Amino acid sequence: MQPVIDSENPNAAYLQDPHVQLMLRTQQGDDQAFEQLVTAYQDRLIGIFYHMASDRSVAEDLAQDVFLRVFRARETYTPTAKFSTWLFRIANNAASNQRRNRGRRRERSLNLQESNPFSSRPAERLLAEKSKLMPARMAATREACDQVREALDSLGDRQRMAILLHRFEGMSYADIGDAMDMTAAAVKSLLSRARESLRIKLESYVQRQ
Amino acid sequence: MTGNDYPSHIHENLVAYLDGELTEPQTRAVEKALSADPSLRQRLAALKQTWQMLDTLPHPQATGAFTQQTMETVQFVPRSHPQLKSNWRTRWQFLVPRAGFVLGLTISAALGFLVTNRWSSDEATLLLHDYSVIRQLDGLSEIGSTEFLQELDKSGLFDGSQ
Repeated sequence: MQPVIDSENPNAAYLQDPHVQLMLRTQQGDDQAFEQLVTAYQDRLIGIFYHMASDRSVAEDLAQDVFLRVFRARETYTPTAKFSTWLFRIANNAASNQRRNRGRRRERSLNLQESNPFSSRPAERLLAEKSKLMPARMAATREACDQVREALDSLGDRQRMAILLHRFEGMSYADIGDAMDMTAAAVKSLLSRARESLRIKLESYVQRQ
Repeated sequence: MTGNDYPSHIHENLVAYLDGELTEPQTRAVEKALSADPSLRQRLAALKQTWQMLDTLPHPQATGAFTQQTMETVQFVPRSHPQLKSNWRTRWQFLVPRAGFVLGLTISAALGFLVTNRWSSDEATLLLHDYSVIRQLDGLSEIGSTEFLQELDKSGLFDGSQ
């Protein structure tokens, strides 16, 4: 299928984004194009939401909500940036709404324990280690994961989202700013404080290694 | 100068330096500070190490049914004609040819009615005008020529004088 061309701005760089092309084809009624977008971004969205909500089922619900919003917006979609930037702006809004709906209380689902092989309550982990059921290296990795998760959870929601978008999506400060409705300078300050907090939280663990 | 004595922007720029998000002058300023202070270099190393520790976090993947469930869910989203985007230019491009076709069809029908109506009225009028001849057409066709009728009329055979 030929790429969709914006006759008003045929040379816009963002039109080279293959995912922008898929979204424009979705706009024209191509459901297979939308399915390709779902396949391309489902793991990435679920990963972000998983580390925001600490609950796999909530993460999948949020991811599906984002795709539903994307599909509803297809008729008025006008590409002005990379598709991923636009998508994660919707994701950030969905996460904000979810936080407001749930209030300040954060719950940890038992599903987290069942589906995440790296997550286990400290008591269970110690028991497993003492019983020599898991190799030492795997235990060390799990401990590091627990420490990082605890440090990440101690951050504010905006700091955590900025960290996740930068680390796991490789987004630049400018793109993170677009997604979170901030200036690049504000993102720089936000990430600086967040990573300094992580450093302090993990300092004692790092020194023990 | 120790690590804590630097201006706040130097500390803030350490992270941006690691991320490659500084301008050239800012990068030089940070590198100058790093080269002069071991504690700052230590802080930078710690920032880098804790950043890399994020890789220990799991990356959950979508369940096998997620894609199918998502596609099934969007089927319930109301759909309009794919060409009827809320874009006036596109709507105009869609509606004008169709309106033109309907208008042309209407005009053609009207012209056709007028033409056929005029033809049929002329024909009826002509028939009424020649009705007296048409009624005696069978007898008149036996005569052969109008000159013969004119000669008969001049002869006076039918005027009662003879």
